Amino acid sequence: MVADVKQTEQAAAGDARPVVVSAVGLTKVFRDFWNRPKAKAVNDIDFEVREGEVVGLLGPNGSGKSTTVKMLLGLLYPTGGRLTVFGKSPRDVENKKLIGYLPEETYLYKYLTAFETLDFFASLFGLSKEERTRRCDQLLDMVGLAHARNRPVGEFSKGMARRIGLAQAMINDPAFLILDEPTSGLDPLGCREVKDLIKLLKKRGKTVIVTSHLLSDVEEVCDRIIVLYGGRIRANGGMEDLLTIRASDTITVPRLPEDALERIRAIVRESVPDGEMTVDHPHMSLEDFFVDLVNEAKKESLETSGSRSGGAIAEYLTGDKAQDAKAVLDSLTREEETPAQTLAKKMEADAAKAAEEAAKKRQDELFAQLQKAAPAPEEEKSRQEQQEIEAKMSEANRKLKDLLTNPGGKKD
Amino acid sequence: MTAFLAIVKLTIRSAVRSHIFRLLLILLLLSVFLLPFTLMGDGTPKGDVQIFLQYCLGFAGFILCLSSVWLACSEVSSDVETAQIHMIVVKPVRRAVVLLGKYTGVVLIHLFLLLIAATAFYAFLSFRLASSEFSEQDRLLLNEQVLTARALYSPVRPDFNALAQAELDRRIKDAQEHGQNVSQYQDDQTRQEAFLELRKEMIATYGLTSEGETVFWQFEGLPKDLTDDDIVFLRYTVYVNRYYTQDQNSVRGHWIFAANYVRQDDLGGETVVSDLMALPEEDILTSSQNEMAVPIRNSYFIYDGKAEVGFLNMDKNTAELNFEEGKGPFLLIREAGFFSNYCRAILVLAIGILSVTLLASAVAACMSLPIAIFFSAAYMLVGGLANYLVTSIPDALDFQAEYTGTFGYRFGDLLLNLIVPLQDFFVTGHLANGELVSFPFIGMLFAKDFVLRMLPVFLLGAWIYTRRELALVSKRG
Repeated sequence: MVADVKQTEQAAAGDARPVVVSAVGLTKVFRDFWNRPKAKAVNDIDFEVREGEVVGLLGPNGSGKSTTVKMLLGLLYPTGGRLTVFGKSPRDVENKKLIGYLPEETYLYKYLTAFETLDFFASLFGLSKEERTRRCDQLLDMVGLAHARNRPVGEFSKGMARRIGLAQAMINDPAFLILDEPTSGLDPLGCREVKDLIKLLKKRGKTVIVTSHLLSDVEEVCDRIIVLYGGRIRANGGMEDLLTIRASDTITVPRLPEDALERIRAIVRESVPDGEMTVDHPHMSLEDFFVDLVNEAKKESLETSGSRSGGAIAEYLTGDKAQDAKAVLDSLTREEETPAQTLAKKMEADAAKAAEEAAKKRQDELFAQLQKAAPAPEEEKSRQEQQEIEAKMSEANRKLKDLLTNPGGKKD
Repeated sequence: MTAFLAIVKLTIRSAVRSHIFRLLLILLLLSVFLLPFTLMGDGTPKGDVQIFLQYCLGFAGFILCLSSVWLACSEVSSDVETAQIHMIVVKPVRRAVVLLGKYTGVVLIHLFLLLIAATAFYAFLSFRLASSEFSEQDRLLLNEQVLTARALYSPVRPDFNALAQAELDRRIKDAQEHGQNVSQYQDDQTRQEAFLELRKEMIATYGLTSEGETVFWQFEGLPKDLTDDDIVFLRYTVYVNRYYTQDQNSVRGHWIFAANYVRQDDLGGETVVSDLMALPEEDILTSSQNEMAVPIRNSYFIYDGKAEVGFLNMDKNTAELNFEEGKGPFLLIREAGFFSNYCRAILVLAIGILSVTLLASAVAACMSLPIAIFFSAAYMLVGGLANYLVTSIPDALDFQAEYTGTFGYRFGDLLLNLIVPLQDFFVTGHLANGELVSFPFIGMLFAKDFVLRMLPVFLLGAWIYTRRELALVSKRG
């Protein structure tokens, strides 16, 4: 793991993107009334977040995630070290025009309606009335709360409050977004939308820090993760670097006939012992299953009193008023192209096409080989021996299990 | 809309939805609509109107001050405790602006309520005056003594230090002339003790008059442009003997006024001659505030802004009559109308609301809600108690008192300089007595209490608020 960290730091050293967050020797010690040290929440950590990165801040409770986030926002002050956001102190007021923040719990004014809430936060950015109204309406539509526009947020469910919280974090179209447990309290559909939103923000070159206990969420949206434990960084690296198991391979193919599968096993067995190989059907994630189910229901126009799935991304976030929701979504993922980029894209498409053809060719060859392949008599013998060994092992395991679960029985 | 206005608007909305604020609002409405019908004066039209002015407006002002303290503490402090402030300070708005916005919101809503209450009281009073059938005498009393604004002039206070010193020197000289041994007065400490005792005695007997004795008071700084049509009133309270008592008796005496005449002398120059003019002997009610119009022409009574009034004790049944310092006699001269005075009294209440809200906001900026409320309430309570030291401190600081006394006086003095007595802002008593709430007084109150005392406290609170770690406190709301 330490090696991974070093590797990532070296990679970052060559990264030319501007630094958004820089922490050097960052330390936070909480003190009691008599100024005696009570707890060291963050202990001498160094990290950087560069423009356009989506970074996951992970760690168990009390690991220092929230303290780090609050120091980034200027709500807590570092006891030691140096922390800058956009090259300035986190307490710099002007800097905050570039930051959006969704706290772990959405602290809203319960007596304000959804629209009034967003309008209030928009006012803090000094936006004109027309602009505020436009953004609020679009954000309410985006987070699926347009129908609850005039309901006090005190009446909202936790999920609806999170959606409003997310909308207020986006009100200024921030360049740097800090999302503390963004999917907490949201239904799977909401989680999916939040994750899609984060991905879209990344496409637009926004910098995002996400803290979450739901590791699958982080894994899906983040480029890089920083794992904290006991106030120290235990791992810091790209998702690919940290999570790829380079000692194993996975091949996913469409459903194969049993005999073809058997032949593949035989080929693989040439290189790998049978015990180290597994063949199984891939699983759909429960989230994907749920989202599909709800989308089906939506098509049947089933009513719900709570939040509805989000609508189009707010226009001001896309910069194009005329596009429909799909087009807006597309535009978010599409960056403006220079002639050089167009050429590069064409070359990329050609290369992809060539790669696809090569892969198809390789697949055909593999199948052809599989068709030809038949188990040799020696291999058949070896397989029988292996089965015998497995049977013996199973018997041994069964006896061991009996022994462990019923030790008294043997004495008798 | 700027961030400041957004916070002001939010604060007002929050106030309207606060349960305790609603409760206080109900109390305010009760004071507006019910109190006028429940208060009873002394049965005279003048007494009824005085009671109405003093208590209705005073009660409303008190409720509004309490409400503003509660709301300011709640708005500033609970935002930190419920972490709602996190959502605001991470936006591009300075914390000082947040605090100022909340303060302004609380002040605006209370000033609006004060305006409503004041308008309602004035409308009620006007209706009552228009619909009641008073006798000519009662109406005259009301117009001259209540529904008016008269400047109040106190007599010149004697220099007790100089008088005591002169008296001590005289007595020592007398003793020496009579061959008595006065060597002990060579010692500074003995001399100082004798001086203090003498001074105390002179203060206690100031305004004390035995049967057949006359006591005089000098007035200075009176208006020089008065015409004979202007009415000058004399207000006084007399007590029997030197001990304070509420028992009322009827005593007898003469009021004496110095009348000044300009007389041509033989050389063609002018000389001012002062004659004394005594009113007929009359019955005077003791332990009760009395008021009368000075029955001589102003051109004689007031000369070069100065006047002299005396009282001759003719009561045979009591040992002494006592005109306590601070209880008169006073001269009152009309300077403005009642409406103008009413507006000034409201303005003073408004300064009070501005000041206590400033205090509560500052305290809540650095403390939790219960502590902030306790601190604000304690501050105002101590201010109220410290006010009782006002009369004794100036005397005490004029001379070298004993060590413990000096410490006590200095402490009291410090307290008075630091703490704002809440009752400073309640001038409804002045209004009820037809006394002018002068602009210099209002200006002095604003400068002394708001600018010099509360504003520094607020700035200190704001300084702490902008520097404190707001995420250290977390009590989920």
